[in-house]
Amino acid sequence: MAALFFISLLLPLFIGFSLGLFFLPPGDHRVSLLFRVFLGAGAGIGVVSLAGFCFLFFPGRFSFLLREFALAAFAAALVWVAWRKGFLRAAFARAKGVTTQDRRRYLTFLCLAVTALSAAASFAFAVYREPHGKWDAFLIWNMHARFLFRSGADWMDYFRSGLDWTHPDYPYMLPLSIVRAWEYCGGETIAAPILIAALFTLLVAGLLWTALGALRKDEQGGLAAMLLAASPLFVLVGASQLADIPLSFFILGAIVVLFLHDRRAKPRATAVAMAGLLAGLAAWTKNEGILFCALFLLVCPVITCFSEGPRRAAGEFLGLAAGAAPALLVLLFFKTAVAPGSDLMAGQNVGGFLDRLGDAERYGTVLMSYLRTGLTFTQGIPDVRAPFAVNPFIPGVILLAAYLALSGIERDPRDGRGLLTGWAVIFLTLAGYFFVFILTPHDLKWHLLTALNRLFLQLWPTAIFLVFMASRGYRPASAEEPPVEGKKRSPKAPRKQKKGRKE
Amino acid sequence: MREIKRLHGRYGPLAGYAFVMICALYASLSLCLEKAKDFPGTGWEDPVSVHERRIEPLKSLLPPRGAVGYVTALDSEKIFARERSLKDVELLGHFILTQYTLAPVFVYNTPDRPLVVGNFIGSNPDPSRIAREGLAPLRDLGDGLILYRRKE
Repeated sequence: MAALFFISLLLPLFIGFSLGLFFLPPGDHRVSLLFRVFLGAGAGIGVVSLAGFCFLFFPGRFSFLLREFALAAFAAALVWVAWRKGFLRAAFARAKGVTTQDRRRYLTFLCLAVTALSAAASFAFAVYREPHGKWDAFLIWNMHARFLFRSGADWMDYFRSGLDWTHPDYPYMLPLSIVRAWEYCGGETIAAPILIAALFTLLVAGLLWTALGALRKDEQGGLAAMLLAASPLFVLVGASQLADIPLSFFILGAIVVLFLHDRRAKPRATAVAMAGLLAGLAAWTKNEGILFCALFLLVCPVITCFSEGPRRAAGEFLGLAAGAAPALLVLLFFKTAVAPGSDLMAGQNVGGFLDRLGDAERYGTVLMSYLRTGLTFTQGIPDVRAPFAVNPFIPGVILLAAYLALSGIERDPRDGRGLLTGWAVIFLTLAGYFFVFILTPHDLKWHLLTALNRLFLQLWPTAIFLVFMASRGYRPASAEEPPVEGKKRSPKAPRKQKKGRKE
Repeated sequence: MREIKRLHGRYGPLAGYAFVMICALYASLSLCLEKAKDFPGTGWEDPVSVHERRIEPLKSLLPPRGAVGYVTALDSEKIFARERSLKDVELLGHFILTQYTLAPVFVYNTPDRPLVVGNFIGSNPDPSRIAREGLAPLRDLGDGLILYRRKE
């Protein structure tokens, strides 16, 4: 069973890895092979789920074979072109060249290994106790997968069933990925959603680690990955088989690729398209991802417009939109032609919205909940019976702020736009959620209690990434390329290559 | 002030590195220990699997497609209301798991379909309510699970 599951991952991995080579060519971006594997695996699963949705409209006995053949042909074509262009050789050659020797590096990796093993054990304990996941896993994501898998050619009936409490309008990246794994395994097995959940949890931590390794240094990446893997809510929500962790992967991926793009002296539009693709896949994963995608596609060009002019901003918007287009077109079709309306909009009228918008008490309740949840959300699954308690030694906002205060700020001048964009998108997304809560037709306290901590968690890996991108770390940062501004060196004083430092 | 700045510049990053590392190890090992303490032992069967096994025999009595109604100890609209007020999630959980098990058959939270699933864990069906809804037992599967036919 496990072998069949891993075979099902091969095509997404080949497709995602090859797309990564095209969008982030090895000649332009000095990133490790592992980074490409982490980014490619997640992106590939997302892209394959888009194909999975399109092939739902070709029902029949050979639908699965037809889809897999088309995906295999696409993957083979991508790999062949990547080979012909020399991308594969360059990516592997780059991987061999990255070696350092530093005792503190070994200490970081030893502690990272302990944290990772401990997180894996916690994940396994949680899965053993709840193999079907938590409430939303069997109410939404695994339920959707069952309806699609068991309905066969009649899969559209579910969307007309009126079972609105199962949220059939939610995007289908995760259910389609589970269905595909079941098709490979020859039937339903609870191992598939568990392994997909474990995979995405690993991919988020791995992407954070290797991205910071490429953009800052390996130790920073290792420390950031430790911080994430030691966040109890991250491990527990991962084990709960919810879509929040896959969403956090795509949000983090989009922001990371934006930084890689900015590190180039002469940036190419392909990296922007990759960021757009990942933002689009975020929208295809969860409704919250739609807000992130819209903000990402707007904020990036607006900031570019102020820093580099409208012409560059327009080009960037086109690149982002082109990358996001496949996912957004599928999502648009799904939302308009397949899915029923959202439960947040059902039976609502303008008067009700205005009443809630003008209710000052709701603002106070949401703001208070934002503050309390913001300080504690990483500590674990909230318990309504337990009193409010902050533990500053558990990785969370307080610990991250303490790290930044101790470490100090030292950012690469090329990262200014990425940092501004990243934080702007995070705060605007949180502001957007704020007004969703103000306008929610559901009981406000119930809605806040059941959703807010996971909304914060979706942005948590990106927040860690942004803080580590701006923090000094305990050794001067290595850059992917020499900065183009700010840190010009005298031609008479060539920089010494430090021992153990990456080129 | 200058001395503090100098010390911060020299030792701050190392202190930050050590602080984060120690806290991360503490948090991850604490979580692992907490989960290990909660370990329910080998042979554990989780509530969802237990409920699925309980509902499973219904599948052979229902058509492979279509819709069924649902009746339990509480009126249908109160099930969701109790969960929203964070009073009781049990009854809603039973309803969700019935749908989860019986998919792709649609389970509606009202007893107004020709076939109705009665789910009464730890309680008995109220005879007056069952009569009022026009439900006649078709098959009693035990453990509070009854399939009803609605009289036209």
